Amino acid sequence: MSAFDPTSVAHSLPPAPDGLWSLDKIAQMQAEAIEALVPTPAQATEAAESVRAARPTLASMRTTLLSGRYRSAGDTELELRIDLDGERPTRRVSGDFYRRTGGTVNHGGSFLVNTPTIMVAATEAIIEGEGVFSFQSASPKLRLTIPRVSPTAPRPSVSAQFMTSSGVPGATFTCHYESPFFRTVEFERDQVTDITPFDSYDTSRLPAPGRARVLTVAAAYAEAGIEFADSGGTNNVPIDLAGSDRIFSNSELHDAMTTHFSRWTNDPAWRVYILAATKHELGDNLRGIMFDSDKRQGCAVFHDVVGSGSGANDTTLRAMLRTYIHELGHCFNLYHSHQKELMSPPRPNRLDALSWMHYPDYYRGTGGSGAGAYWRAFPFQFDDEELIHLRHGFRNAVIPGGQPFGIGAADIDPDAFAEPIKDESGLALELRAPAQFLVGTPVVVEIKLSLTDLRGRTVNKQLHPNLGYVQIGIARVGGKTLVYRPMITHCSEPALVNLDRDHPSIYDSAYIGYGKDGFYFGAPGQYELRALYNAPDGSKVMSNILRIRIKPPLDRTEGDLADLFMGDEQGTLLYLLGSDSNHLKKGRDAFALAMDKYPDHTMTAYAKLVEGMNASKPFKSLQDGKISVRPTDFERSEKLLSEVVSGAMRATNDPTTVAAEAGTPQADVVPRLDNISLEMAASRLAEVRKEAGNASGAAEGARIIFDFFSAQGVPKHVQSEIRAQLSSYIPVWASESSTSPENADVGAASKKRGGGKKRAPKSSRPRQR
Amino acid sequence: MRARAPLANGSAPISIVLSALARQVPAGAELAIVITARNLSSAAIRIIGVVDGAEAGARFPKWVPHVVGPKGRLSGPETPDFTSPLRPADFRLLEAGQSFDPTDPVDGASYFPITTFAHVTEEPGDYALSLELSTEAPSAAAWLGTLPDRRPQAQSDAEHVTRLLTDVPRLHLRSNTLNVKVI
Repeated sequence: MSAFDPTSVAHSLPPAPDGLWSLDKIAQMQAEAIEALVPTPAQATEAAESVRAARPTLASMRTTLLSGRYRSAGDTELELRIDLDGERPTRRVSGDFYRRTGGTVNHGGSFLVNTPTIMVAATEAIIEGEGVFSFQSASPKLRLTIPRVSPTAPRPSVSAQFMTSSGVPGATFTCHYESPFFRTVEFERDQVTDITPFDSYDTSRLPAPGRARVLTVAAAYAEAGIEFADSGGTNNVPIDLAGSDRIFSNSELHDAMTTHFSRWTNDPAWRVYILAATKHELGDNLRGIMFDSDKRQGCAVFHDVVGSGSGANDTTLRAMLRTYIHELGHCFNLYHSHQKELMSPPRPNRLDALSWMHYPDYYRGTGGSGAGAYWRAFPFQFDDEELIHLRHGFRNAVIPGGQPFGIGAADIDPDAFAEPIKDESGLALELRAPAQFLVGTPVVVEIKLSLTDLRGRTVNKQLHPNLGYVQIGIARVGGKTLVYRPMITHCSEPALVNLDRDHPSIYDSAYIGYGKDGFYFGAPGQYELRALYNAPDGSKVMSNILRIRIKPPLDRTEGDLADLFMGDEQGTLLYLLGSDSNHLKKGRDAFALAMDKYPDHTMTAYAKLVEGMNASKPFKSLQDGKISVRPTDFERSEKLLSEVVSGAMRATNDPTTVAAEAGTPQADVVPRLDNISLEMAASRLAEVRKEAGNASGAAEGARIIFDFFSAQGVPKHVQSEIRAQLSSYIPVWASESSTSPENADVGAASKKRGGGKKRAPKSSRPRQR
Repeated sequence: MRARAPLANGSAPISIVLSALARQVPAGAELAIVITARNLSSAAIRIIGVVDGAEAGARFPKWVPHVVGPKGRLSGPETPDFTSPLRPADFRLLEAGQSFDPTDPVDGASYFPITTFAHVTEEPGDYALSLELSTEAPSAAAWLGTLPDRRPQAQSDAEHVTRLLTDVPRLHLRSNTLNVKVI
């Protein structure tokens, strides 16, 4: 978010005469500024009148400070930050909404009121202004009503009334005082074993303007309104992490953070890490660095360069303090003062900034330039715009792990796939896929929902993203982030099942390579995927972040196959699992060519699957006003599906395929068919054989595939499920299934889903595991 | 790759000359040093001034000062943790015989002073100042800076910069030595 507003006057307030700005004094200054624009009372605007009418008698007003953090209760929680009085008020109000649905709490959006009108009277203060929101707000106007109490009384609760621009009331929240700090950040500082890190610096030790005080890292951020809460997990990091030369690379620093940061997660969180380290590979004069610029979660200070905390002189201690605060400032998404124009949205560079984020050598002030002039004038603080960002920037633009360094906007709502603040859903969602794919290979992911609370949960088994209960976000590293959008969204009622100790999970697989936006993995590179499951109780369960690499073709065959698979018509055929439509003829021709030229290539199996599945059912088309039906092509379907099934079973035990799925760089980059698709192909093959009158062939194939999965060690209840699904082809099993108590539920479920002769679409056939 | 020794002025198509308004300055006073880079060749040359990180030798072009005083060599500036991307405005086209001050941020260039020179007057004594320029970058990445450029024009600027970089002569040279007495 940008705090830049060329329509407003400068933000700065001089230091308050007695150290603290009161709300009354701020209101008085505001009223005087409005009065100065209004020559006579008759010409006064309504706003100026109201302010003047409410103008306080300063002598009578000794009330408690208001600035700080407030919070409401309820399913929609408002965190309110009032910043109107105190030592360095920015004269702003901001907030965040949090949604509690089921057992999860998610961030719902941020807002900021830049120039609220302050009206104070004897018994209450009214703060009013129109905000900017991170979402489209129908009620952008905010009115805070705050009872005025004596300085010795507890802080009062604040009524926050949202309104439309014309004043029609919207939602109201009652927010209770929580903290004098606007934000609280969990802070962990680890140190390399033989390093004495920085502790504190007394600002009176060297010439400096302003109030003398002793500053620690926490104290400097406290002055900015940010509370640093010690994580309690300080560690010594062994120097051997940096190798024999004591020099760290960014990847080694990241490794130190992930290993030693007691509460590290790869998600946005109000947590930040700093390592007191030795030296960085970038050189002998690098004092500090934020080493994960995409995530902004960790930074390091290099004490071999900046000096040791033990026995350091004043200049060294001052340099250490600046380096610690500066690097942590990057973690909160602050650019250098001379690089503000490179942010999004861009800001003017501020070479005259007296800020922690400036390089003293680059300072160009009115009283001189360079490091000497900087230190003579530096009051040990962030500049005004940085202060506004830290206190009131939209949450995802500030929080470590939020938006990438320098970015105040994103391609999609960054909250949509954010980790819940709390997760008591009792469920876990897992996304799985091979680690690498040749570009053009259909990307199929497995989605697994499992129980974490063994008391059990009722869940919706519709896990396929086509059914609308699961969304999958796809981010190309360094590129855009999109949400997978199926070509056709199926309107499907939730299908509820119970997960318990005996059936602790369900799963499904989904082809997500092609959808409404075209090919989602059309360019080589690294991709990150994350799924969101909307549970029946409202909980939003986030999956792991799945990383896959799309590799470019390495030889002529791979290049040819990639071309044959990368057309829109091929994407549509893969999505639909085949079609006779004339509109997709080019796609079918491409698949036919792939099967002809590369009949044994792993990638061709996907073309065979599409064509085999399509041939296994009749296809109706409208020609010359008449419906024409192409009957099932038993022979073609059996041939193609047999090749798919036998090929996938062979590849399962092929070491090169195993290596490819594990991401071994030199390995084959076309993964074999996933298990769920394989089971689908095998079941359809059995069905085709049975319909063609080859009951014994159907039974034999069904038994082979069951034995295959059993040999793979799938859990017992999954074996039961597969057995139930295949039982219609093996008469002995069918009779067992109908009488076996163990299989009674699963068999019933299978029949409900359309088990038997008429099979339901694959997407509605999740399995319990 | 081992860097070649810098060429002296007159041996390269560009010369760098340091000059001072006064050779003798009181301690604590400002030392005004003028840096002049001149195209000595008969053709136009594209060159880049002192962008952030250049003085620390953290990126190309490297404009690295050498200041030797009574207590030995002065240390260089702090290495910046993030260096700015090069932008088209950072390039100067010098016609034959034309010169420019590589620290003067005119026409949108993000140039900075050689900050080490400002420390000369902190202690009395005799100082020898010189400036090295190296454009012998081992790779394109060594020019481009490390800070993510989030501006809307970042992509088009980067493409333009890549083209402009092919015009920059690869050289490594050293200025004259300027002697200054601080009293």
